[in-house]
Amino acid sequence: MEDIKKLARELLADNKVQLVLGFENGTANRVRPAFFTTPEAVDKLIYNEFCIQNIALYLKKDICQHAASLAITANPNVVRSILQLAAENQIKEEKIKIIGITHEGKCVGLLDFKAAEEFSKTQPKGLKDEDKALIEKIQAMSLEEKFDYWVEAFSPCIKCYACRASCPMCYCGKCNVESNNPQWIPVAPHKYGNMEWHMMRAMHLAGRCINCGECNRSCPVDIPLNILSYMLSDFVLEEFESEAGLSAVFTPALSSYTMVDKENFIK
Amino acid sequence: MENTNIYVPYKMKIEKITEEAPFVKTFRLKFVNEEDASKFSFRTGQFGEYSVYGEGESTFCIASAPTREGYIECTFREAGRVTKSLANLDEGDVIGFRGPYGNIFPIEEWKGKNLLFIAGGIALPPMRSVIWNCLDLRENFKDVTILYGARSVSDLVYKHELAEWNARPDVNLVTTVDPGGEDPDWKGKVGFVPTILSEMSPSSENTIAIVCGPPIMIKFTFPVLEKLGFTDENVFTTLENRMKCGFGKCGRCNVGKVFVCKDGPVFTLKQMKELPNEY
Amino acid sequence: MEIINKLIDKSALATLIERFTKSGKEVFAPVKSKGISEFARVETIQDIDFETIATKQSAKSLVFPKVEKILSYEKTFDDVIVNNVDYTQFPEVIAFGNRPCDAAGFIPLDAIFAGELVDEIFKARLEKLTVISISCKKADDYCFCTSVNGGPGNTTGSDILLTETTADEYFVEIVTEKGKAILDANTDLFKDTAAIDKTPFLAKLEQQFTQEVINEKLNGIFESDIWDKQAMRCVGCGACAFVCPACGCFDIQDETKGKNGVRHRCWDSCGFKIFTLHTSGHNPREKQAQRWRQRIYHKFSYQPEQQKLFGCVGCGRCSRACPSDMNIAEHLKEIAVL
Ligand SMILES: Cc1cc2nc3c(=O)[nH]c(=O)nc-3n(C[C@H](O)[C@H](O)[C@H](O)COP(=O)(O)OP(=O)(O)OC[C@H]3O[C@@H](n4cnc5c(N)ncnc54)[C@H](O)[C@@H]3O)c2cc1C
Ligand code: SF4
Ligand code: SF4
Ligand code: SF4
Ligand code: SF4
Ligand code: FES
Repeated sequence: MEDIKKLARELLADNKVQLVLGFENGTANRVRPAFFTTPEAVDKLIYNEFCIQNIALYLKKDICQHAASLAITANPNVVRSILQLAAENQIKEEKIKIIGITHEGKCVGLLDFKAAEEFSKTQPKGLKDEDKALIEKIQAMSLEEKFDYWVEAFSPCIKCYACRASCPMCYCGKCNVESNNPQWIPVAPHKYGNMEWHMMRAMHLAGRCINCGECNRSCPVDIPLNILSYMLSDFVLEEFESEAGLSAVFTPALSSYTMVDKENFIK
Repeated sequence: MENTNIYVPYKMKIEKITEEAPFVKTFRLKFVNEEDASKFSFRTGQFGEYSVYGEGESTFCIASAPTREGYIECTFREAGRVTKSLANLDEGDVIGFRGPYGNIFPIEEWKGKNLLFIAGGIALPPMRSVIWNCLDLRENFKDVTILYGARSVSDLVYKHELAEWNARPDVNLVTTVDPGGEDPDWKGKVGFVPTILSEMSPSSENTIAIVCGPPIMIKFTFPVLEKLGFTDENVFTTLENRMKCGFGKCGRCNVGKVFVCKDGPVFTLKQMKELPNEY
Repeated sequence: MEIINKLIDKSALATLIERFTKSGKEVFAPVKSKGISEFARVETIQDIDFETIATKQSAKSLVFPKVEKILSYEKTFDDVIVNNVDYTQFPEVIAFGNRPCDAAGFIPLDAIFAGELVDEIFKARLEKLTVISISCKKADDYCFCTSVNGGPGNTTGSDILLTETTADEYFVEIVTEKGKAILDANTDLFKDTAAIDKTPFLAKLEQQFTQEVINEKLNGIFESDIWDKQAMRCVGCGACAFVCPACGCFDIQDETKGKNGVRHRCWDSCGFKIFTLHTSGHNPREKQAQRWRQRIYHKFSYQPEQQKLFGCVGCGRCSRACPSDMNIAEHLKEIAVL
């Protein structure tokens, strides 16, 4: 942690960045996102195994948009998010200094996008055992069972949109659920309104989701959204040989067509 | 079961549709049930929620005067989902109406005073209600002046009524369009409302000013009125905020501690100055 | 009504719950499933989670569900037939084992839905609801009921309050007529007792500020930069409002299938950008900081002004649910010392 702090302090002291995006201690033994603008403030910066919230989210918020340059403490999830955001032309390399941190919490220093791509390859996305088990269970289901499973899983959804608000890839200025003319998705959080919202969300993130699991962590009713996204990512990888978050130059699988596309899903 | 469900609208039939300007229409609405009609009353300044079933509800002021009984009118601009579907309806179609909601223009307190109405663009509807209300009780008031401006000649609403007011000896009507909005036949003024108001330089003596219009017009009109000597208590306006319920429950229309739907939509400039800038 | 004191042992309590369900009443209590505790329909006392300090969501959905039909309509060629909701047919519901803060939450909610124009649907649900709360033996780092005029043994909003005094027995306070009706119908299950000092059986929770001080402070800090500072990490979701027992904001939405349709009232939140967005694109609360400020002002300034009560019962649910650790008690404490 000390090397991370040292780096952050230097960047601010040397005026290399105006803002460092990282973590501080929160309340009730939690950690939370924090914004540091002076070297002294960095005393409060922390990094430990609880710092898993995907703070790449804030790169698209006013505070970061208004900063001329910034640094971010970036674990592999954050690095993948940054690369994906860059691939989608949402952020610029010149503006961002990535303080790379491995899954084990080791600081690897500053990463440019090239180095970040290499780093991403060496830090495969992790999946908890219970998540793996759930995926296997769902994969073994018939189509109807799968549908029923998800209808049931989504039924407690209260449409608080914490999942959307916490996802770095859900940066649309006007989300589809906010469009009422036409009304694509019913607003009410009943069974089918929920199903449609989640189908829409999953489709918009398929091939773009970097599998950080933030949607699930932020969900107050603990819906395993990340599993659905993960399964879709897997599918996109298999079918289109494309994976989000590995490269700063990227063509989203579902809005492009190449000669190697298998098309075998069109039945 | 007696209907005390506050969300259930009255059933209204569209009796007459008037095209006022591009994308602006006026509906004359009649109660389908006699009983509803006999129970219903409203006062000038109030608004309602108009439903197209399947699309939702939209908030418009009641643009007719309470002195004209037997129907209500609304004038709306096609803006989004509900207003677009309203615009597709024909005479004879049925819609829903909940209301009246909100506070009123205190016209009883204006007795014996001069009235200066200043309206811009589509904001004439709330004004129209109070104008007709006052004209129908014309003997109660002294001079009545109406300054109405729109972007262009075709954007002026209530053209028939403008002609009617123009012809009346007891009303001083001044119409204006923004520079560039005039056409060869235009006989009114050319210039923004605040500029024309300054030129007219009406006396603030014993006068009530009622201002309705787009925020930008209001912003530039208030200082002119102040200069003319109007005190904050004698200047009235109406606010708009996004609404759903219309009766202070859904939570979205508040400006600080006041609900525009319940405590408004009519506010004096004095009240406005006490509100945070959340409108 | 003056509070009536009784005792009930746990087997009698189990019988009481069975009698409720057998008589057709719907009993909702905290139930733990897949690691989270939520209010759910229970049949017997075994289904109930007595341990969890606070369910994720509050008990408000018993009277203010996330989606409520407010009317239905049928369209014909040239007409629309609108059908009212028959709110006289709502079931009798017992909230059981909720915390005192949950019970207190029904009061600000009622203040929103009552008023000059009464929301009869809400009112009917509330009238059909009996609240049997259990005092808190434990509190966690998020709880702050004692700072907002509540407490781990507070009776406000409860019809009956149970306080566990021994491993086998609860001290019972019958608070309202509704509570008394239950006592009267089940006298065999209750034992007489004198009033008991509950303090030893309650969680200890230090007061961090008073709501009156917050209310006073808010008078002068609307334009302060504290809102920007506090809201910096707020992501603008609806989690805090939706889990809150006292938040009553809603949206009205139509849904049509073929010729038939339903108009719903569903939860909404002042944390959302589109909550206040005009069709023109203008938004009176454009920034997240303004929306956060609304949350605090509504609960600690506007509601006291409009309804003479506060809109927060200190349950800490919003802080627990917030993905970004926006801890309301911490923020209020900050305001209190400004
Ligand atoms: C007190 C008051 C009086 C009004 N009087 C008139 C009038 O006389 N004529 C007129 O043309 N317009 C008036 N408006 C504005 C009008 O309500 C909106 O233009 C209209 O609601 C847009 O609805 P929509 O469904 O077409 O748009 P959408 O964008 O599809 O709206 C979606 C929903 O958002 C809400 N909403 C969005 N913007 C507004 C807004 N500015 N005000 C209220 N609710 C909003 C509505 O609930 C609407 O159903 C008034 C608004 C208020 C508050
Ligand atoms: S965070 Fe959970 S409850 Fe909220 S909208 Fe997403 S899935 Fe639904
Ligand atoms: S604001 Fe938070 S602490 Fe207060 S009642 Fe609501 S959820 Fe509980
Ligand atoms: S805090 Fe916000 S969501 Fe909750 S009741 Fe108040 S305005 Fe509504
Ligand atoms: S305070 Fe937390 S829960 Fe509430 S809107 Fe902000 S991020 Fe969401
Ligand atoms: S419109 Fe619902 S509170 Fe004003």
